[in-house]
Amino acid sequence: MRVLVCGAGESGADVIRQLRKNKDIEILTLDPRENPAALAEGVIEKIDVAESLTPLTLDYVIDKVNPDLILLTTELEDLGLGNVAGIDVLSSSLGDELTMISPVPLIQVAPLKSR
Amino acid sequence: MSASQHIEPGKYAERLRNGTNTRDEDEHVAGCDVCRAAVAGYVARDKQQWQNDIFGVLLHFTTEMARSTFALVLPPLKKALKPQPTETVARPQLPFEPLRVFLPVSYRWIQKPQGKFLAIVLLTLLVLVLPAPPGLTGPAHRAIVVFVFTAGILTMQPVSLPLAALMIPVAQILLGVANASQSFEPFSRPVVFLILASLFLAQALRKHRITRRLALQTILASKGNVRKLLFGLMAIAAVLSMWVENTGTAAVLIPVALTISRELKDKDEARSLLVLLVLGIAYSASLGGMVTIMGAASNAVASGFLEEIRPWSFLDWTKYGLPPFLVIFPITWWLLLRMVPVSVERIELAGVEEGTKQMGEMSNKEKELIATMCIAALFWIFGAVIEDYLRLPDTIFSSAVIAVMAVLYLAVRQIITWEDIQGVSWGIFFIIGAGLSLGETLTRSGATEWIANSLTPLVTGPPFWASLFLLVVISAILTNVLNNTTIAAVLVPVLINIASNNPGLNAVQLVIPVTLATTFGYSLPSASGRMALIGASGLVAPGEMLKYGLIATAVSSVLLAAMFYWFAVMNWI
Repeated sequence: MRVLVCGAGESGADVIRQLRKNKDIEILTLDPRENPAALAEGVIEKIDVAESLTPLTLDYVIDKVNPDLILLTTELEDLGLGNVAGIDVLSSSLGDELTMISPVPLIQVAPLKSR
Repeated sequence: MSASQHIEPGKYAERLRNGTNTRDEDEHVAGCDVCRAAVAGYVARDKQQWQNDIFGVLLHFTTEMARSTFALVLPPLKKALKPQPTETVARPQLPFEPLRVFLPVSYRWIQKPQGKFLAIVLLTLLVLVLPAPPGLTGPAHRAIVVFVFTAGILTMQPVSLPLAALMIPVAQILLGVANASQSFEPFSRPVVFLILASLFLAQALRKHRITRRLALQTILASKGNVRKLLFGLMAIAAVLSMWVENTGTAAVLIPVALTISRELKDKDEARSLLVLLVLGIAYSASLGGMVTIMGAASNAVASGFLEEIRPWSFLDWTKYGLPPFLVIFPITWWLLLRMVPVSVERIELAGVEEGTKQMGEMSNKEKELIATMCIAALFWIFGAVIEDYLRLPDTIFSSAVIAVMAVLYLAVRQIITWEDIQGVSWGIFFIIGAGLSLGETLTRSGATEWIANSLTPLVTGPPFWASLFLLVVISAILTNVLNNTTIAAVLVPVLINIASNNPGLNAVQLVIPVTLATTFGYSLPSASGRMALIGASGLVAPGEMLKYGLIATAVSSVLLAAMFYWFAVMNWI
């Protein structure tokens, strides 16, 4: 099973650690940043897809990596857009939109900070 | 066949193998030693050849099998021996290159807050040590210093805007222009709770995906016609922004614009459509905010000051905010269609139709939420009239009380919970409070009067239409670099002061257009939350934002000033 983890920040790193418990899961990572937390902490060795997941790139990413499941672990910091007002609402709405339009099962993972 | 005529051994062997040999041939071979020997020799060679061929086939087959097995087994074997991250299986040729937005590159300077904070503090100290201009008292000078600090801190945002806003009352206390009670008291004004409640209502709309549903249905109603689609999206953004926080409304609608744009596979066409839709959403969210007190933080601040000089209700604001909206909104739509070139006139809406189907029918909770919002809107508009007619206690149907009651009703009905509310961006609460606090301090210290005296010749000297136009343009330009709340906090008390000292002027004639002009911050990311969002996410290039924004601002400012001049001439204000 190929699982695409979108967002290699702290939440993404946490998700990757858990997925590794099952050796049958092939983990792929997506993040637009050069050095996200999961990479900086050595949880992963490289980012497989250097993209931002948006409705515009969704089909391209799916075509490229052919995942069976997409886990959206993007936190605000993972967007890398700074502390612009309203970015939290935009991030959340973007996740909702992707969930609605994705042809592949896409699940939003609650970020660590909201727990 | 004669005995002297021998057969051809190859042809005979072939016919023998196929069963087409004749009796004559058989009898000849049987009686002819030469032919019998020739046929026997041919068959022996043929058999050897066949054996050789079979061996070759077997060898080839075995080699291929070994190679395939090797190819199949080696990668998993290597993986098992040395576990490593999986590699992306990229297809050699992908069908299209997508339009890329939301790239984390634009605002690296945001990540260096200490440097920016130091720069603001140095600027503030510079103004503090400069000699005070003639007529400016010591406290008033320090209040101006607070204004400089506020302008810097809210514009450069070394920390998130709400936290930056919290620095303003602290700066007032540190500079000795206000005590703690005076600094923090404005944070508890009714208008602040009105805005806060509108944030909670926005969260309820978002939770139940009402905004998205309305947007999708509007898009479907447009049948893919780009002009109608833009108008529909802008109308949704504007109408919702009248009642709930406008940056939040835009943030919910921007992903819908991305979904629409993905229907176009050509990258350039998709980008043009995206720019058109996103600018339409951002502009109309700002324009919708003109109509009500809770539509924009600057409206709330201006209303807070107007309440102190005269009876001021929700309806009073809407009376002056709605007409300019009704004129400027369709013109902005038309202007956008002229400015932003989009080559397609109609787009396929398969994705949108699918999205609408997935949302299913509207639930009872969603219907109840919409009904509650509509009833609240009616009370916001007619609350004061009902209050008077029924002789109810004062402010029982004031806009803040209605908004809070609507939220509480939704909570009792479990349409919104405390957990939902915790996810709200509370920031604007601090921003409005800080704006009101700054305005109070400027007035109390005498700084407002000093600024008003300096600006009076500008307002009273030229003909009214010229000074009105000038004030509107100044406000519209300032809003691109200064926070709207700061502009309202400084200019509104100044204009009220000027009007009170000049009997020929009406404070509302000046305050409302100048406050509404802060809506036209379209040109820079620093202009508003909407522009910051679309700038930071790379949805619109800075050059495009500036070009289209300046044109839209200029046209809107002229229309606004002209309308309010007309209102004044007609004695409607």
